[in-house]
Amino acid sequence: MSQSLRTVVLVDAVRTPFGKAGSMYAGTRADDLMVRAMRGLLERNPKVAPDAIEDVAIAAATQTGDQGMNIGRSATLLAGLPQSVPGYSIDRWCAGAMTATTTIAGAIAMGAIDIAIAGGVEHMGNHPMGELMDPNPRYLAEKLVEQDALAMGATAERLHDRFPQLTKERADRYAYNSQMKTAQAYADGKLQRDLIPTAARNPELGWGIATVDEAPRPTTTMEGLAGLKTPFRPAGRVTAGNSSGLNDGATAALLASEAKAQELGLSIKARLVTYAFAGVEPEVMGYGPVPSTIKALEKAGLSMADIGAIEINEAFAVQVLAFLDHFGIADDDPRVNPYGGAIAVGHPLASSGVRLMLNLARTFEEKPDVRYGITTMCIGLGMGGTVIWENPHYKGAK
Amino acid sequence: MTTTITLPEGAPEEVVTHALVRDVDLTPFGFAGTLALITLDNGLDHTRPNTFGPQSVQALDAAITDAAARKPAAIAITGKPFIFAAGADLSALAFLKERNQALAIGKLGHDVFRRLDEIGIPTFAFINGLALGGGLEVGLHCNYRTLATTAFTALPEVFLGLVPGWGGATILPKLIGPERAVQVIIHNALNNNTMMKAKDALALGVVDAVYEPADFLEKSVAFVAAVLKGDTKIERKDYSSDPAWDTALAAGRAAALKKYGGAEIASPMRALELIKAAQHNKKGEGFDAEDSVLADLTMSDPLRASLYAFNLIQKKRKKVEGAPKPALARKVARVGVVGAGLMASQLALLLVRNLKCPVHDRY
Repeated sequence: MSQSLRTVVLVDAVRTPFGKAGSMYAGTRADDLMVRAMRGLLERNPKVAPDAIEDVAIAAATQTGDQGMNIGRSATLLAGLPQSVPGYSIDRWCAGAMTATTTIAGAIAMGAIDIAIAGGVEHMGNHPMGELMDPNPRYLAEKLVEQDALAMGATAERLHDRFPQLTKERADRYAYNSQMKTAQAYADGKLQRDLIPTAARNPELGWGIATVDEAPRPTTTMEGLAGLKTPFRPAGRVTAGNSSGLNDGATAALLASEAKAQELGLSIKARLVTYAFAGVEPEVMGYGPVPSTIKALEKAGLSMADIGAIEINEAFAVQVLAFLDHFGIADDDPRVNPYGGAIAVGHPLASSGVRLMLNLARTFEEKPDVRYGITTMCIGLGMGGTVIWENPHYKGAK
Repeated sequence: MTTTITLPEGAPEEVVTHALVRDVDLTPFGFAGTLALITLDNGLDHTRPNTFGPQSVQALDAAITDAAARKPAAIAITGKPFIFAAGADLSALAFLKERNQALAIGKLGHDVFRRLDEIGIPTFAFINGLALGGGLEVGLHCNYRTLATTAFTALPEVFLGLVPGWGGATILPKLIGPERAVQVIIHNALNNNTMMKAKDALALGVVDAVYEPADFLEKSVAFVAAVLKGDTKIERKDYSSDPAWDTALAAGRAAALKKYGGAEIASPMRALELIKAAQHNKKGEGFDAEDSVLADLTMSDPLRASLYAFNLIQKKRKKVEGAPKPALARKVARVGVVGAGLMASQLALLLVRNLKCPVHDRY
């Protein structure tokens, strides 16, 4: 077999509408959300025969109950894919779907498979953060991590501490802009394009169909944000308004070797250049995207000046600002999250990595002058992940 | 609705099937408008299917009123997980003392269900799971029907000593023609209550589209949007001058006589009368005739005996009254059966199937 690497492309990506944790999907199972995203993805790509799918990697941060039983294999069977299609589960907390993507991409690049599904699901209503978590007492006894490391909100406060220039006012302004950008994207019909309508039953209300994200607050004001409580520290800076919420949702992406995509006549929405993950101090996990992006850019032989589009997960506004400050990018730079981000639409932990990809793919379509873009996110226990993508619609000089 | 029905003395309390209404935005499905979606749900799991007693029918009536008041582009009805509706609640029938009470139950069903056809808004049944008798009849009153590939449907009334008297005996012949209607109402019912698989129901024209259960609701809503937009057209044939009426009815009659050794049993004969009348009557006339037949049969001794037998072999078979708790049973790991006759071999077979342990049949 050939040992040369093959180019990996994003064929398509979709997601269910995201709900507030335990709200519109309160009566819906996590695996049913995942199945819906997968079936919606395949329905949009009829040229891909289900038995041509060679692997399915599905992420969830809590892999028990309706997110357990090897959700990758289980969702594959429940989605009605042929029994010959294998599946496995991935966990890298918030970067689950991102890691599913990079792991599948690695297999495609080395020639083990040609076409596969990567996705993620998190039903934070069914699986509250920290559910069944049993941290080793050595963590604290040996001071392996600081006490704040396991409370994500506390890590965000620590990031404010470390970079005093990242004020609450800046974080609130960033959060406000995220809400406004998402409202505009909805008004322009941009986000709806990749949402798969999803049946959701409420035992008291009956069956309904979720068609839009539940979490966005288009009526957000700066004054309103300024008045919110700071639950992680008295007189702190991190609020529910400048953080992503607790959410339920699923995402799925179709990845293929470029040769296979061309052979089948599939759409090519982005070309994977390279990726990197990197670790940081767990108590400032939000800083993770900085070292992972530096590393990925180095591997690609690129610099931030080459990056024309950035999709960064907004776990917390302060964590985005730390990233922007490091690279000297303005808080309201139009390259960053043009459709808003997790502060508005929500962050069902392990699913968000693919949401960043589908947004970036839309930006690529709209901006043929942009050659490279990144998707990046911070990860609990102190990590960051960054994937660099090339725009297949790029029209400029190469 | 002004009709109120009180249960006869001695009848068990009704397990009420609630009818919940929600709006579904059709925009993502390509149609500007909303669908009012009614969910039938008795609040229990699939082992206690939705049924229609008087309060349940009245709940549906209120839901239809609620749905229409929302000014939707369409109204749809679906069930709870795995179950659409298993039909009329039969538990009270045996306690009825007067024909008028029976007549009122039939009329109540008609008065409510027929609104689905007469309300002036396109109506759809999303038959997501089991739909029997009155359950399927609710769907037949709707303008269109989708069905889950795993759902079984049937009109078993004739098997029980009744007729499909909440619209089925009138609507089905008009919808799918005499031959197929006799097949479903007479032949299937008398053939030990054969249920239709989804592909059979689709081929017979009982439903208009079939979808896999994984995204049955989403696909059904997409079907609504396609019908409303005119992208999907469902042709309905007029069977009133179909040449097969006489032969179909004669075949149904012959099958019923054969089944009962030449005896003219009331339920298939009356069902055939109703089917025959459906060739030319108006639906409302058919419904009135159904009410009358239903009342006659409900008050008859054969039906009482049939309900008793049904209860015995269906309900009590599953949960034997007075039997000790299964937890008390000793674990059986090996069984010997002495005997070589039919009974011993059948016992051995039953034992091996149920206990899944080695069984020795010695003779």
